[in-house]
Amino acid sequence: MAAISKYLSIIRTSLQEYFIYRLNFALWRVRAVMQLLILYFLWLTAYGGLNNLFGYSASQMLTYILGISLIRSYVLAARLSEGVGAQIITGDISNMLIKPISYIRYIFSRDFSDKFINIFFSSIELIVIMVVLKPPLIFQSNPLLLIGTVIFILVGLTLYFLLNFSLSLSAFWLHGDDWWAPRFIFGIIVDFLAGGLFPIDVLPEAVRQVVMLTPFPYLLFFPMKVYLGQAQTSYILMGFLISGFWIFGLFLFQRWLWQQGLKSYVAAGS
Amino acid sequence: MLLPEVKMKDFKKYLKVWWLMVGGAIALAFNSRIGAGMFLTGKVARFLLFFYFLYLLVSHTQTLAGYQVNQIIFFFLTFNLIDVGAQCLFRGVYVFRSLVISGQFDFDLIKPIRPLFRALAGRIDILDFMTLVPLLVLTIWLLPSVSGGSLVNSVVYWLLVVNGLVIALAFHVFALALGIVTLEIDHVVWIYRDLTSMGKIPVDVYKEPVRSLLTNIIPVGIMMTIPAKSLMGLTSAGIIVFSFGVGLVSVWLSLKYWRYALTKYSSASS
Repeated sequence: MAAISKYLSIIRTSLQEYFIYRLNFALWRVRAVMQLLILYFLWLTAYGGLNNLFGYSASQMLTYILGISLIRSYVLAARLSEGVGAQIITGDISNMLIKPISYIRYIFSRDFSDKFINIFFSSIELIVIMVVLKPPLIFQSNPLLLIGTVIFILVGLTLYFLLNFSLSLSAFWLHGDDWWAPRFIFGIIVDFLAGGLFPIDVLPEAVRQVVMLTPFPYLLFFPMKVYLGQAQTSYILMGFLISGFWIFGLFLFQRWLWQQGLKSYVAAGS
Repeated sequence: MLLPEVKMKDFKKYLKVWWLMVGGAIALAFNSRIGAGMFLTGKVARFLLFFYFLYLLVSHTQTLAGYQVNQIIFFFLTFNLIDVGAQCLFRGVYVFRSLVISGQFDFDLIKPIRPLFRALAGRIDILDFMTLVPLLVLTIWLLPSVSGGSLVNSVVYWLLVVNGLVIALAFHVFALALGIVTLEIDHVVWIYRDLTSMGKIPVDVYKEPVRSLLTNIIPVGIMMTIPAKSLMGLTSAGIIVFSFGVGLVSVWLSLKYWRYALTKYSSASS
């Protein structure tokens, strides 16, 4: 119980941090809304008089775009753990290593507060957008599909945490500002291959099959695919197997990286 | 005024200083070849992936807001020319806040070159410059297919691209001045970047009131959309004249604000 209260305190203090830098947070959300509007209008205009595009009706696609923005605010909100690389480079991580807490759980708790506050505000933004723009949305009523969506959101959340953390650990072997470069590429890959810009089905069949073997579509695309009722049982099972494989593999990989990184860490800072 | 007062002798001096800064930027960027390689790969990948997405989308729909696939690609190229050009030339804005709060800006004020020149163009992103070259080649290659062979339209297009860069310059000067007065600059620049990113596609794609906002209030349409539309012969002479007017007025206002901001600089540091 004492162990849990430690991490609850971390979540609490991380939330308080947000309200100290209110302008920072407000501008971050403004940027998220702008990015959503670009996609929304692009897809809305693309449909024009068309009933179906890439196997999606206009209402399915707009539900996908708005749904993705909500899932993104939960799965990809991890700004606090993105600082792990900087902590390693500057040597600040030494302060954390000597404390009686698990560093990985500390980071997860920080991420949790980020996700909590982002989903709260993005839900409000989405409601405002729905009221103002009145998009033709699909509201799923099948409880099994809703449960499946929630399960795959949790899968995406776990996958992103493991990917993000593993990537941050590359700072153990990089120097100066170089630690940011893999993150830059990672952000671009996630934007395109996770389905944040378009559903993965839009891609040609051969490319799609390859992409579905990577962990990225299970971050955003797959939960929405399940929500829209477009995934057959066999497709869902296959998705579960592939994402499960990646979670298991990345879990082992980040543990190995962490141990190897600590061995090479000299606490010299940059 | 910054520009009219610059004589030929001064121009050579500033060009020489700028060239020295380019040399420094190259040395700094390639200090770490791994980091530079990864950043360059990321920038190219981001461009190519969005390019592919637009191509895939519009080749399926045949048109987007009445534009054909090569026209939509051309809008995207024009956006990139202006965006990457501004990123490459006006990079100093990203480090200006730290100069002001540390008081180091004092050293720029006492040097025999204009502080605005140093603050604005003091850092050149050489990686952006490297991506600018193929972008220019691609634009020139695609230009005849959308201009219909009109030389006048082509000349007006390049003048409007320069005008777009002038508006970008005005915004960056305004952001620097705001940085002196309020110390808030980073978010202003990021909001600007998100707003201008709405110009990746023609502003005609957006519905009202977003379209009017992007054309009349925030001149994203004038910066990014009008140049390509003029090349396609889709704008009136009045709008072209108005665009140049917006460019001149915005740069005049931003310089006035910069001069006002300098009187507020306290050199106190934090």
